[in-house]
Amino acid sequence: MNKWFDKEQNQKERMEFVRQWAKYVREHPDKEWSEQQKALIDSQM
Amino acid sequence: MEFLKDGSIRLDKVVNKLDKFVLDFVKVLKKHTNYVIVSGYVSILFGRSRATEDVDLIAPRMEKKAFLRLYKDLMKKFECLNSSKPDELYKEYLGNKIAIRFSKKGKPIPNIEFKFAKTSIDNEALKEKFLARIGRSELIISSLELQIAFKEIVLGSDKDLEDAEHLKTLFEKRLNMKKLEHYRKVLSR
Repeated sequence: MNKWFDKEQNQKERMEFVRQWAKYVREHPDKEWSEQQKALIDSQM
Repeated sequence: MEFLKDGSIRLDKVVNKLDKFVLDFVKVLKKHTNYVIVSGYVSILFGRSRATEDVDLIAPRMEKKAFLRLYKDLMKKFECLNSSKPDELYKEYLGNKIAIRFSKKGKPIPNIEFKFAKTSIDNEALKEKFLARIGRSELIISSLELQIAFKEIVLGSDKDLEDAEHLKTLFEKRLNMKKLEHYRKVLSR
């Protein structure tokens, strides 16, 4: 483990959020999650 | 998200700029050839919370005349980032199994990474596919099981593993686990 940054822990946390978001997508209407996705993607394009 | 009897999935999503770009490209492409969308954009289409600079797309090998017709049609709205010489693109790039990139004119990002099928897995992706219906538009998407296995076994970066996890969680009860295991084994060889 790097003294300044725990990469492994960060990967675990990221993966946990990925699962959480995928469940949100599964359980909410398309319009609801896709509005949020659009805001993220369009801001990067 | 609605799973239809014909195996397709209907999405009632608010289309983002990346979706619009892909739909615009495919509208032209589908007049000329079969195709399948693979890799990262598959996860993004189904809600993954990230963007991408390129969208991977596989088409069956085309005869040169057919490719030239496609190129001419695409050039009305898009440009090729590798070369503006279609003969060169066909022979030196696609002929040597090198993908070529198309973007909207003057805007290199995002772009479509277009290649002809060259491996048995590429051909499997073309064979094992389903339709994603977005409004009146359609996209041909590679089998979710194949995409998950490919990301887990072949690509394997943090981003790819997260893409695979997104699809596995989202389609938890819909995935064919035997098929997924089969692809994992094939890709591990």
